[in-house]
This record gives sequence, C-alpha cells and structure tokens, in this order.
Amino acid sequence: MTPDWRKVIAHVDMDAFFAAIEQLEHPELRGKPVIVGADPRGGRGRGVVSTASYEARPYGVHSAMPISRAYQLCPHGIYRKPDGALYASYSRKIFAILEEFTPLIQVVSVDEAFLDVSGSVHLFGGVAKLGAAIKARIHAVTGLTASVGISNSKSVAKIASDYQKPDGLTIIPPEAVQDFLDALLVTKLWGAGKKTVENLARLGIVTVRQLREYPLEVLEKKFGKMGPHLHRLARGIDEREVVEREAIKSVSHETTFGEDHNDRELLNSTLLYLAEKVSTRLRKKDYRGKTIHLKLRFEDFSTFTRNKTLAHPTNLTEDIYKVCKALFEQFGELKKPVRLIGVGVSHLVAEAGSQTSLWDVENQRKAVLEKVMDQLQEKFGKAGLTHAETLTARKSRRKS
Amino acid sequence: MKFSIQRNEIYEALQKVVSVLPARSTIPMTQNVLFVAEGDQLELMATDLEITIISNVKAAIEKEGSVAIPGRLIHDIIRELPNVSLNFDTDSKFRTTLSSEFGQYKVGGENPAEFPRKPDILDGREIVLPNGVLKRLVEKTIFATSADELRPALTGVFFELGGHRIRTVATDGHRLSMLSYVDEALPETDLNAIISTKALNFVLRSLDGEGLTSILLGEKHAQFHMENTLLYARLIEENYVDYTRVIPAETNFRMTIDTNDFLSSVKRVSLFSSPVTAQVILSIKKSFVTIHAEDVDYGGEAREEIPCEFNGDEFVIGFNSRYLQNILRHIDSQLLNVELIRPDNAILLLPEDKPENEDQLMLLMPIRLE
Repeated sequence: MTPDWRKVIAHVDMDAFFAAIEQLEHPELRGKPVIVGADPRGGRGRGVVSTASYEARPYGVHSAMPISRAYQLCPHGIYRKPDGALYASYSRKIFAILEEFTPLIQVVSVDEAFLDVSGSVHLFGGVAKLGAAIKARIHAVTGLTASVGISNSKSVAKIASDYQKPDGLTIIPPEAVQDFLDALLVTKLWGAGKKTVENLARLGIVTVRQLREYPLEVLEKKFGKMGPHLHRLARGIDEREVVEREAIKSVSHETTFGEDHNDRELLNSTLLYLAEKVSTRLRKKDYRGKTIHLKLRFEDFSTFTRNKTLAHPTNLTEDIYKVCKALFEQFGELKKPVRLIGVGVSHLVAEAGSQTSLWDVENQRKAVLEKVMDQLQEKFGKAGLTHAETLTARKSRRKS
Repeated sequence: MKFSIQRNEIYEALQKVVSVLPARSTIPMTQNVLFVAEGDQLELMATDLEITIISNVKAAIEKEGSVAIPGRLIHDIIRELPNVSLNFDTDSKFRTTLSSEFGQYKVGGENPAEFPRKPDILDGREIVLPNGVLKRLVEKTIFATSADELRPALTGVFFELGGHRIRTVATDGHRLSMLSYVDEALPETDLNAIISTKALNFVLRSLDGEGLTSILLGEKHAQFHMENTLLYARLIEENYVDYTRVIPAETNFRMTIDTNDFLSSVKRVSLFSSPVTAQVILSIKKSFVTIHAEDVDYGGEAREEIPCEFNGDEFVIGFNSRYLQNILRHIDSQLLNVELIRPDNAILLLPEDKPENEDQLMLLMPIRLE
C-alpha cells in the first residue's frame, strides 16, 4: 500500500511564545536573552523556566529547566515573570486566525494546535501554500512567528513543526514520511519520554530506523502497549484524529512554596486559594467533579496524594476546600515542611443530564456568587476580590 | 456469677446485642458482651460507643455478679448448641465456664468494671409510640438518608416534635421523605433530634409485635425502650437543614395515578435505561403517561403507556429511575397524587389514602434534560 494524502494534518507551534511576546511588547528586550519563568533570586530561586528566547538558547537555557540552573548558565539574561493574561490574549487571536483555515482544530496548549485541513487544503491552493498562508496571517496580525509542520498524521506533523524552528515550514509528503523518520533519533518521537528512550537505548535502539526494524514481539514484551504504539509511530502510522475539544478528565492546580512551610494556617489558606482556582475552571467549563485530590510534597521530595469521592459532584470552592482540608488533616502533625501543595478534581460530569438537587436554589445562589467573583477577578485580577482566608497565602507567596 | 438458662432464651437475647459489636475496634473491651446477673434477670449489654444495646432475659440465678466475655465467641458456641440447659460460672479472675450436657467451654473474661458505662440521660423527655407507628415513621423515611459524610446531619433521620405531632424527615438532596403522626398525648413543646440510620436499623429489628416503645430524648443520646430491649443511640449533633424551605408551597399541575401500575411500569422500562444515569422520561398527557427509557450506548429502548388523570396538557420530565422506584415502594396508598411545577423543579408525591392521624409527603428532584 502506498501512503497517500488521505489526511492532511498541520501542527502549528509558536516560536518561544512567551519570550517572543515579551520582546514584542518591550522593544528594548529584542535581540537579548529573555527568560520567562520563576524569579531566579540571584540563583536561589526555585521554580522553572517557562520559555527562553532564541537568544538565550545558545547558553543552554531551555524550558522546564530549574530557574537556578538557568541563572548559572545565563546570569546576565533578562528574567521576566509570566504575564498569563497577556499571553492568553495573543493566544486567542492566534486561534481565531487558525479557524480561518479549518473548523477542525485541536488546541494542545496556549501556543500549539493541530489542524485537520484535509477538507480545506484545496481552497488554499495546496499544502505548501496553505502552510505559508497560516504563517503569514499569524505574523501579519500578531507580529509573532510560528513554525508549521504538515504531513498525513498528527505524529509526523508535530515532529515536522519542530524540524526547522524558528519560523519554519516543513512539509513531509506521505511518500517521504519513512525516510524522514528513519533518519531521526527516537527522542524525536512524540510520546517517547526520557525513560522510554533510555530503555530503548539499552536494546541498542537509538534511531527511528532501528526501532522500526526491531522485532515487534520483543518491544511488546519490554514495553507493553507502548511497544506496538512506538513501532507504529516509527513507521509513520498514527491513526489519532484531530479532536476539536478533548473531554477533560480532571482539573488541578498546585503551587510550590518559595520556602518550605509547616505553618498550617498558611497551608490551609493556600488550599482555599487552589480550591478557588480549580472550582473557577470547573465552572467556566460547566463541569462538576466527584473526586477531590490533595497532593503534598515535602522538603525531601517525598510526595503523597489522598483523595475522596463525594456522593454528588460539585464545582463549589467551599465543598472542594472542605474536603481538601479534611484530607490534609489526615496527615496529622507535619513532621517535615511542605514544599508543594496541589488540589485536583476528577470524575467530571457535564451539567446536562445530571441529577438536580433540592439545594440547587441554595447552591445556585452560591454558584451565582462564585461566578460573579470569577468575572470580577477576570476584570480586576485575583487581588480584586477573594475569600479573606486566602490573603495569608497570597502575602506569603509575594514575599517568596 | 453463676446462673443457668435454656439455650434458646439466651441465644435470642444475645443475638439482639451481638450485632452491634464493632468488626474492628481500637478499644478491645468493646469486643465483649457484658453479662450482669441480678435478681431473676440476666442483662446482656454490647456497645460500639455510638450505639449501646441492652437485652434482658429471665434466668435461674444462683449467685449474682457480672463479667465481660468475648462476644462473638460466646455467641458462636451458643449458636452451635441445641436447646439444652446451659450453666454459666465465673471465678474471681473472671474466667467463665459454660457447661452443658455436651461438655465444658472455658473462656477468659474481663473485669466488668472496665466495660464502657451506658450513657446517662439527664433531663430527657419521654414520648411513647405504638410500635407500628414508630416502624412506619422510620421505614418510610430512612431510605432517603444521605451517605455523604460532608453533611453528617443528612446521614440520619430527623425527629421533630411539637404541637402534639411527631414528624420524621430524611433527605439526601435529591429526594426527601417525610411522615407526620398526630396524637394528643405527644408533647406540645418543640423538641428535635437526629438519629443515625445505623441505630434506627437496630430499632427496626427489635420492634416486634403490637406493644409500645418509649423514647427518651436527651441532650446527647436517645434511648429506645422496647420490650426486653433497651437501645441507646448517640445523637448526630448537627443542625438539620431547613427542609421546609424546599417544599414547594404551590404547584401548577396534578397527575393522579395507580401507585402499583406506575411502579411496575417504571421497573420494567428502567431495565432499558442507561446504567450510568438510570434515566426514565415521563411524558404526561391528559389521560395517560408515557414512560420511556433509552440506552444510547447499547441500543436498548423501552416505552410503556399507562392511564392517569392529568389537569394540564403535556408535561415532560426525567428522573433517576432508582430514586423514583424507591419512593414509589414506600407509598401504600392505591392512588397517588403527583404535583408538578416545572420540569426542573421538585415533584411532590402525596398518597391519596392514608392511615388516620398520619400525613406523608415525598419530594423528588428531576434529571436535567438536554
């Protein structure tokens, strides 16, 4: 069977998105190494790098790297705190542009999306013209550059968008897919994590070609379901569809403290703050969740999770907080200071088709109040209106 | 302590108390049953610290005294014996010997002084109810309690007294069941208590026959005095929700329907509903109601029509069939009145016929239809 353009998938990935926006908004930052992420605090900071501008990358700085490490590598870099609201406004503009090309868009993150353009590619005069048009429109409207990869599957399109970054356009026609993949290292395969790559290397598999030629049975034995999946990816086979909106399975938020804490009052107020964030997101998406999760990481990085399933799904801050607090109390006296605390809700159900409650009147009043808070916060920022108890948590985070 | 008793008699008394023994407990003493021999009575007591049950039985007592003995063991050995005469003899170290014509069984007992004391109810108020009435008050409501530990008050049945009336209420937020009973002998002043479903299930089990039960309500405990059995329940010390607020004062429509026909139909149709939502949809018209269920995932579908009387034109509303069946099972009246407001409001279920002095009301919330 000869591969064909049965499907045309484009992967659009913004280049150094957060850093590029900072440089766009602040012309004095252009051409300089800009690192968006946690406060490095002279090398003692504790968060991670969100995005490094292309000027910072030669120093070895990349995203997800501890900020302290980035500071060692690039002490003269310009460190910026992320401005979520600003990036979101750019992100909305970009997705609006993508919708000009196809309605079938899968948003992966604020700066990344898959487009199924199989039905619309002919309207734009073919694959190459379509790719160029996407890039040009984004640049014209926002001043930012994007890298675009186009192929006949999501997996190859994603690899292609990364192939000539920044400002790249890489088209891998079906007949070229295998040669393109064969030459790559397995690290490039979408879904091959650090552990998997290490384990593959132990089998002597370093390139995609070696993976493709490796006996499938052995891979299956070694990696379980992941084995055949990787083997398929190595042969350019990826049947995954572009899903407009993947059903979300859970919502969670967590926070790492500037210093480790065992002050219960502060930790409780942080829980409330996180519960508020989680419930806001649930309400925005019209979901309720049944299982509430609490995550604690102590100074020695030992991590514990506890959860509780409720009789009825909720999206109220009050309920989520109440459960988290109770779960937290189950830990008893804290023997070690806490480094990270997280709150999550899973087992989500949509509002339609759900059992109504006699307290709906009461809950609706609460929900209306919480929705009003959501709106005010959107307008005036988190500090505008909040549960009084979260103030301790805010203050301490500001200090840190 | 020394006494003798027929196997069947002590076994019946022991069965009543032994079921309260906690499966696991951090307090080993609560694994025991306390035996107290006094006058011509043997008293057996067991507790899980929430509920204490005391059962009395006549015995031929040779020497008064008391001992705490491992409850399950003594229950299990007596269960395996036929109805013969049993002799109990406890020595000064609380070692107890059970002997019968089959042989001897020795068990290490504990000092009865260390057994948890039964609760003291000071300034309690007493009410007396016929067993049949108490049974209905509990049975018709207990099924609607909640399992949600977030709202402990709702895990019990609310007993509300006042104005010569006793009312029981239970709700989990999706349905509410309420039964009221009026009797001049009941107190006029207000008095409330929330009693756990676990305690009430024990009460139901011990309520046999025609007699009367006296209930003593104190600050922290309630005592149920039934024939040969005394039960203490720790109250759920929470404020009950203001349930009167959710009972609609006015409704728009009324459907009258045969309770049994309705229940049988819902039972059959709901077999074809989605196992996730258990949703059944009622389409009510002037003279009949269509009950419909569909399981989109597996292609199952069922539809039935049964006669009714409806004073509106058409009304469509969806329910969780498990809740609906549960409620219908607790309605004894042949005819049922269903009061409706809007498809997203609670419905009221009111039996057409009811026993004298009694009032029953149930509420059920619908499922949001697309």
